[in-house]
Amino acid sequence: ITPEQYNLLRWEKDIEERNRPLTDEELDSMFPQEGYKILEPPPSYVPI
Amino acid sequence: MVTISLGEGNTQLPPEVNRVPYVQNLPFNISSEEMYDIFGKYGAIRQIRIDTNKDTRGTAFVVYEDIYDAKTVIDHLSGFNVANRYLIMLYYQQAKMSKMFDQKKKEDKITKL
Repeated sequence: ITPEQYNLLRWEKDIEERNRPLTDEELDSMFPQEGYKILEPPPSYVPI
Repeated sequence: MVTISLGEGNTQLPPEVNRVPYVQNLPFNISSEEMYDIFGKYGAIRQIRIDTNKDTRGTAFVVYEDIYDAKTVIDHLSGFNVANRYLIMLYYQQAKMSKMFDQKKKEDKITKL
């Protein structure tokens, strides 16, 4: 496997790690406890 | 043979890039529809947290599912005009942020003495 492919593999793992789905608990632990609340999406919202 | 598919926009991402733009200078009583309309165009939103008291007023965290969407929205929406206020878009840096909140708690304690 060429160094260039190795780099691509390492980069892809990095992105996978940074893009792994976040659980609600992780979200709660990420943000300050007070001062913010979860904004409910409008019923019409459809994720693209 | 190792086959590697290169996704779109696959440049190497600097470490501070993450999926949580921290938005400042929002109009105070912006509605959920407006928030999801402005930020939803760039990608699937995992969650939005909006301010609830006066010292966090006009700020919000918008968590995206995909890191490239977050990067695109920050590149595009910085300085965007909403109700003649210019949006400030930064990547949320948890370490810095928690330090700021700890300072506030200390100040509150001191004032209570």
